[in-house]
Amino acid sequence: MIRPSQPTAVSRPIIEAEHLSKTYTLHKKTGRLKRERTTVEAVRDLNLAVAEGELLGYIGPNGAGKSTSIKMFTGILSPSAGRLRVAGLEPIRDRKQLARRIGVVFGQRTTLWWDLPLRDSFALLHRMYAVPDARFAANLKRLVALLELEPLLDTPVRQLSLGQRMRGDLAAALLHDPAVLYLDEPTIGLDVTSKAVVREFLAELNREQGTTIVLTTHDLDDIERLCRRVVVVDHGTVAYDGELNALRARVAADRTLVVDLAEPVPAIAVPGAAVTRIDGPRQWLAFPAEANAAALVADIAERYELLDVSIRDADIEEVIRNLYTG
Amino acid sequence: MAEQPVEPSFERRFEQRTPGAVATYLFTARMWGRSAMQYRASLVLVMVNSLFMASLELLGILVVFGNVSTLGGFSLPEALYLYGTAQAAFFTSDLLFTGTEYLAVRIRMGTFDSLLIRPVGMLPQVFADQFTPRRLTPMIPAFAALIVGLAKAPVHWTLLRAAMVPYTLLVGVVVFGAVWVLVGAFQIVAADASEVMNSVTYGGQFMTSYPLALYGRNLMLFLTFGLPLAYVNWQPTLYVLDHADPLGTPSFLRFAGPLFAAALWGVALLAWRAALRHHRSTGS
Amino acid sequence: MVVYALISRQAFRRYLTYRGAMVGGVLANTVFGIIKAFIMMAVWRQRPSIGGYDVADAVTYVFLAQAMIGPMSTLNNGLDIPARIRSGDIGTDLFRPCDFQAYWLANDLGRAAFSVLGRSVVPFVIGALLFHLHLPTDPRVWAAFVVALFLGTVVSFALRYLAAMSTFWLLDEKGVVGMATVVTSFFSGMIVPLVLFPGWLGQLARLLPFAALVQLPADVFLGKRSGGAVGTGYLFEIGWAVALLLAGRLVTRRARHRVVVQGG
Repeated sequence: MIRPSQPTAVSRPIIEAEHLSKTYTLHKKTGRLKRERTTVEAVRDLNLAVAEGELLGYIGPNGAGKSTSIKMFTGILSPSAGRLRVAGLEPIRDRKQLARRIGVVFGQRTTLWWDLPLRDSFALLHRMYAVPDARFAANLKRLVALLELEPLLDTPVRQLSLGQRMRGDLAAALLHDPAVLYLDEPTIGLDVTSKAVVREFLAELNREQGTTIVLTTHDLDDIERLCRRVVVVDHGTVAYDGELNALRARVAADRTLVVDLAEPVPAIAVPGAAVTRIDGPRQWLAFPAEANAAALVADIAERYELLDVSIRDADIEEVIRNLYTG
Repeated sequence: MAEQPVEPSFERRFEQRTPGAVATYLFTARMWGRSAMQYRASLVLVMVNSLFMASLELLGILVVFGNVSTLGGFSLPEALYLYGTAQAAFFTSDLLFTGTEYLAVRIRMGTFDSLLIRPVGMLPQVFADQFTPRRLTPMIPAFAALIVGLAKAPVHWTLLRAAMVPYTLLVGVVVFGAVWVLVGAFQIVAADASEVMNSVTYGGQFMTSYPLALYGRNLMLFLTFGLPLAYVNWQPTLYVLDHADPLGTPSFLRFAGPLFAAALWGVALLAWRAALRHHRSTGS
Repeated sequence: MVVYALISRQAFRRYLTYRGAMVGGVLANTVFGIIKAFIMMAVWRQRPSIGGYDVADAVTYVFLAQAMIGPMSTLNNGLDIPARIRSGDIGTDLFRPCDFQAYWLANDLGRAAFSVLGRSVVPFVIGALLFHLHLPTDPRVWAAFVVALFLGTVVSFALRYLAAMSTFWLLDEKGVVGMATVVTSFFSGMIVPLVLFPGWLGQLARLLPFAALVQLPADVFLGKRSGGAVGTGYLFEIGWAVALLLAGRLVTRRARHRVVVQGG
């Protein structure tokens, strides 16, 4: 059989999921001794192709099947049905090989050795992943510089702040040059500066090293600043796959203007905005994302005495909610 | 011609060798050991405590022998030797393999998954989990009993008898190792019933510490042919001390330990694989 | 009083939720009881009477002792005091409107009551089914045993309370609590019955408070103490309970003072 001589290796997706599903059987206690079996479809018919070098936002409400699918991509859970390849490997069958090609960071749970200095965790990973010495030294040097870890290397992990620990975890996940990096809430609980450092680092990692990044987050800012492509998972399947802006436009999520007035008044009536909530002198107004906020504020200030204003973007939960109700 | 799969650019970034099971065990255990050393004062206290706790049982045997001269046909030195073999084997296995006891906690906290994303074997990682030098001290009374027993017991030494002593310990450690694998498998599947397994493990340890002749014919038959714990240390000790088996079993059974150990490991590994499969399909 | 009854009931309920631990405890106590029973039978086969015990007494003693591991908490401290000292929660405990020591006693009695029902009954019943036990036929002996068991629990609490309170000064309770466990296990008759102890050691052991935990209630159960001897047994338990609880109060006052002065 003659095959095309020039298969485009690069165009082959690094994550390929076809009709992927995961069904759990739950045993629910319904009485003193009775147990009821129920099946839950955590993931159903999920299709996803991620090209090498992409920085993908992987979002969805809690319990939508995000973490179940990530666990399948990382070789932790076995799919109930469908086909899955990551870096050309079958995650469960090739668990050890796959582990070398991927890095995983769970925002809430560190994989570093709690009581030992950061340096020791890195040294262990060096051996565990059998990274060649020269390669390891170069990677460590680069990561320490980018993540500003130098002063922390000899500190026991338990003494690090949340942000410092996250930087340590990021470095730990990347010392073996993984092709894919999975991040679960990497900025949760971090202060503004730490968030900025992490985001900048991820953008550079993706740009300079070509590392494919799958980012799960509740922070819309993370997605906005980093991801061109967004995949929304809901009810166990892909509900949206495309650009973030297109998603925004499609669901037309409103922004919210919060105004603090000098005294309580009935609902403010201004064109182009609607009051959604009143609490004493404070009122919440919804207005279209593309409308001019400054004009709106000026409009209100003309008629009422304003003490303070703030504008809140629609958060990811809201965007996704609108995707279904809107 | 065989179909040549195309190797995409992400297939291989550099040549890698897989760390073997022993290497994985050693570097993981070393990390946990060093973690335990960070709390030195506490470690010393716990080590002293477990030394006393382990010595207490030995003291109990001495008190019993203050009232009688033999127990199950064994004199004090003989009973000490038998006790020493069971305890030394058990506590050595406890030092080396007890990471499996922490699996229930890992399952409940969700940290078991972070072992699955490592490019090394699961069992070596699990065996080395929470490794601590704390488990060294209970070996002191165990080996003391073994050595004192051997020195005082009227052993008619031959080369084979001498070789049987380390052999007994080795078989014991290997058998208890398989038991720890079973404990681990059980904890993955039934994390909330992890304590149930303790009675089996520690019960087995306690049972093999005393002459099986104590337990009566029926239980002895069960321990020889049913759940053959007899081969851990009882049968080899009968040979070393030149006692006849009260059951009258043929003498080649004194050497059947490795067969039992291999069979138990077979069962344990099957259970372990089943437990991993269970975890992969349920996630908890 | 009502408050403390409620605290006991709450503790009882809390332990009810640890089913896995309960089943594990029952299994372990049973398995170890069976093995120990065989050992004692071998000893008594050679010497049919030791210290007034015959073989049925000895086997019964083994299962009684196994049943008391839970309520007497001989293998661990069982009080949350050290953990609460380390977490700093003890500050609020010390200045609650109810008495600090009585609060923990009420808690511990609730735990012990749960232990009797959850961990003691089943191993003992299994022991009675498998072996020939010496069971009292006179209901008054059962009643006397329950009183001895209750008083023993109070002594056990008073001892463990002192060990736990050492955390205020030592910060790490492992040493004291561990040593207390070792001494208690041995001198209470949990490892081997006190009747097997050699002369002077046996006499010493019967004078120490630890005898109130296992040996004394067992003696009442087996009818080795009857009539006036039960009364002196109670006096022995009450005497130690009062002395140790008073020592506990003294320690509590020092601890409170320490918290006030040093802020914990």
